[in-house]
Amino acid sequence: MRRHAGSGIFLLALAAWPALAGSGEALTIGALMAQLGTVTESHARFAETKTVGALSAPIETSGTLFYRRPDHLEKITFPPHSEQLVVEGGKLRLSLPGVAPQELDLARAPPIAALVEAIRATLAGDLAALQRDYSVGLDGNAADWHLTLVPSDPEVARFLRAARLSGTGHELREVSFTQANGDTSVMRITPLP
Amino acid sequence: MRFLPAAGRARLLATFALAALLLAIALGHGGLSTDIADFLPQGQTEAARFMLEQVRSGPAATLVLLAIEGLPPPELAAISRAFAARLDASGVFRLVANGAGLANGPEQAFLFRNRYALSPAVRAEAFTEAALRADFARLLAALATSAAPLVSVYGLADPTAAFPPLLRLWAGPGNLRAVDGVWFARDRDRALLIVRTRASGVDLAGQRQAEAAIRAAFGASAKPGAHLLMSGPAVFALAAERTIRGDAETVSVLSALLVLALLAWRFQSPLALAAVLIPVLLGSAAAVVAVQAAFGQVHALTLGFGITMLGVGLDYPVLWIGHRRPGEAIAATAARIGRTLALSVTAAVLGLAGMLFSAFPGLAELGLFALVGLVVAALATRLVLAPLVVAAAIAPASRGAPRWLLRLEGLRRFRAWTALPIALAVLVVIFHPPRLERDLARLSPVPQAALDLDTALRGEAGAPEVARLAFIEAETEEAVLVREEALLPALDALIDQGAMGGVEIAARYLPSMATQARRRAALPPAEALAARIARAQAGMPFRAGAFDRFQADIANARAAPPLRLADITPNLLAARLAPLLFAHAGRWYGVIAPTELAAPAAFGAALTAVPGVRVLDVAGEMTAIVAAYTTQAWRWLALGAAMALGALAIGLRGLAALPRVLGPIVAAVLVTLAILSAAGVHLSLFHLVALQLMVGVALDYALFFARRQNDDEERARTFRTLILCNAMTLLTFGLLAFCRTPLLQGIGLTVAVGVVAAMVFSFLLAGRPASA
Repeated sequence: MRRHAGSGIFLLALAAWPALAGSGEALTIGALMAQLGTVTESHARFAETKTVGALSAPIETSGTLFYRRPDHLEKITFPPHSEQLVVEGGKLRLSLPGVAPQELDLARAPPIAALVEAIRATLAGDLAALQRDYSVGLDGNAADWHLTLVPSDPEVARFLRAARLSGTGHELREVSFTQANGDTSVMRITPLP
Repeated sequence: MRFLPAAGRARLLATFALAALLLAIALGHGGLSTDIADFLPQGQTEAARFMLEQVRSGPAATLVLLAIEGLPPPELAAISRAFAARLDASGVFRLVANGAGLANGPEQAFLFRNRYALSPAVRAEAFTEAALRADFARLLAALATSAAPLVSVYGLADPTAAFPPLLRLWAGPGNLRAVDGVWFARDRDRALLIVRTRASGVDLAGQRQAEAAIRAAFGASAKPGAHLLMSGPAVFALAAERTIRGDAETVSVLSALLVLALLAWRFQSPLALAAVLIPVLLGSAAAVVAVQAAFGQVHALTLGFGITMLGVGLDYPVLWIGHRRPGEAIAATAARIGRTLALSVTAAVLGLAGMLFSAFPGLAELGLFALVGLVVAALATRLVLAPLVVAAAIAPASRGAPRWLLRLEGLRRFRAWTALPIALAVLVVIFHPPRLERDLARLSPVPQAALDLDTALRGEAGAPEVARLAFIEAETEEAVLVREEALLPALDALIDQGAMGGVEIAARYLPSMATQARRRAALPPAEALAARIARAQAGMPFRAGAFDRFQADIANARAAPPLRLADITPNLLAARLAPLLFAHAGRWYGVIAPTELAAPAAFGAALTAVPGVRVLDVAGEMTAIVAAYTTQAWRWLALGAAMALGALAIGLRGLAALPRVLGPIVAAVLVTLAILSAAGVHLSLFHLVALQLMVGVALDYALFFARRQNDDEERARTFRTLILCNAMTLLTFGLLAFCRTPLLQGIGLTVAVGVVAAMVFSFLLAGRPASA
């Protein structure tokens, strides 16, 4: 009985170990960024839910994400909302079916640049870039971290209230934006091998 | 009354000091103008005056184009941002634009708020139920894309898309490329900024301050390797001012020193220097006062030119002293050379008199300066200097007729050979006549490289050229805009044909009140719009109230008063309109400025046909003005020459003696023209004036050599004196030839070449053989 009880406690302890370990060492933003910075390339699937105040129903889209260090980000959306979005350096290119691709200079559109940078700088583990646009808050632990980004530029703040990025280890699992007008978008990310 | 030499010397020195003081007072009294615009024609027609005023002092003259290069684009962009922020903070500029502002600042909010008044896309058809339905479907699709965040902010408030074309219109010329949100030239790594100074283009002190602010801001913002390029009318004006001032100072100081050294050597007495300078100082003082009285102030160019007049004015005292025998009384010297000297002065002054009547302010000023200076210098020589010279006992050091003189005079045996260079000169002048320069810009001291840089930067920044533009003048702002709107189709056609890259015109940015009223009338009333929206969105997942902001904006636009120029307050927008639409002396003017004009003739033809529109070809207008002045100047020159000839005929007592005097002068003019032509110099108005001046100097030589002088000693005196005069003229005019100001350079070269030729021909042709 004692042995059994003993093994039970052992098992319990084992089961609880990751959580214990996590809560035991507080995750610092530097450590998180360093961990994210080890990834050179990542593929993922995403499913996004946009809730627009003007619409009676949310819009659901899905597709794939591709990131390559240091500054290449690609988002391909499946039909029926087909779209290809490529960000490379300071340029953003949006291709929609049936129309010529549109190019945007990110520096000329700070709100858009801020949206892009929230994701790209996090994937790059580039804290300095994040802090240029946002005041950055971190909670959770290495296995379940949450970054809260609040725009520091008032001009961006008029447009974007906050961004929240969550993940585990070096993987980004969810990105949600809340716009100043109350619209939200939540993107859930599943890593692909 | 007899003076001891010592008392005479004291009196001479006192007179010299007084004359110098008079000149200092005259110069100190009035300002010295260095603005080349003061020197240039004011324009004879109303259009020409308006245009010249606009080019010089209008908003276009406050434009400064800045470029930064030398580093990779991202670094240049960062410098551009810091540079622009510092320039803005300096408070010296009305506008600082580097491309970073319009995308987000108050400009964008203003344009969005006023899109229904300002956007060309506002038409009644855009607000039908069918059109709205199509717009809503488009919005719905866009909300599913990654652009959704923007669509929900801007798109829902502006479903008919009135804003995007408006933003494109104002966002700037298409030929700029953006790097990190900052303007760059399309084809090279050059960050561009456009600034407008608060100071007017003719306010050189203000422009100097602006230039200092630019240099300071750049110095504080730049990194090693980056360098700054500046261009614009004010930059040119400053550069020209600096060059002219530098030239005037260098030449006057240097030539004064050289002439003094020469005189000291010849007369071996510092007193002789003082004596020779007295008439010139008095003449210059009188000339400065006369020019100040007639023109308000003396231009630095006039003074520079006046300094060269020293060389000619110095001839008179030098001729007088040089011909004086030691111990001789005034009357004796006067008996020998008085008549010749008087004739020479009279002919020279009459020849110059024509310039006085020129409507070209610079020419008239020069003419007055030279004429007054010469007359007073000649009078002072006879009335002030002559007694002083006797009292101080000044006479040339060398005496006798040296052997070399006889040998030199022996050269006159070969005078027939002078026919060869003269014939050659005639052939050159006939078959390769000197080209006439009618482009005023060539007279500007701004180097060609700077002009090329300006053209390049203007092209890259899409800034309108000032070489050709059209304008509309009307009673009111509204009348100007209405007429401009009528021109827009023709201008668009020109752009489509490739006649020009684009056009800056106020009506594109600020529609007339009539057009704004038409657009307002196209906006549906609130209830009608609400009903159409409700029907249009039926079956789509838009909530009720999704287009509330759209409806509110339309209702506001329907109630808003029309926008006037004064309502366009955001800095970048106001600065864009300022040079295009403005009031002046109770009238309103609209400027239509083409950019990248490929077919000026087509532009002119399309707009000249429209009543009320005036097309200004700035270069053409200038050329026409200069051509008119040149023709006029020729007429006055001819009259002056005729008067001088008449004076000579009377003075020489008949026509028989005329060829001996005129021959060398004509020969010298021909040879000078031939040499200038062979050197590829284009003759400007100022070369013609210089030729005239040179003729005046040549007259001295010919008249003095042509005197009957059987006495060897007197011939030696004449020869030495004229060589001295010649050397002085060369030292002054010769130095002018090294000026950077093309105008002074042209005068210097012409006269330097001319007086040497005149000396040679006068000696060989005018001189008489020694007869028993």
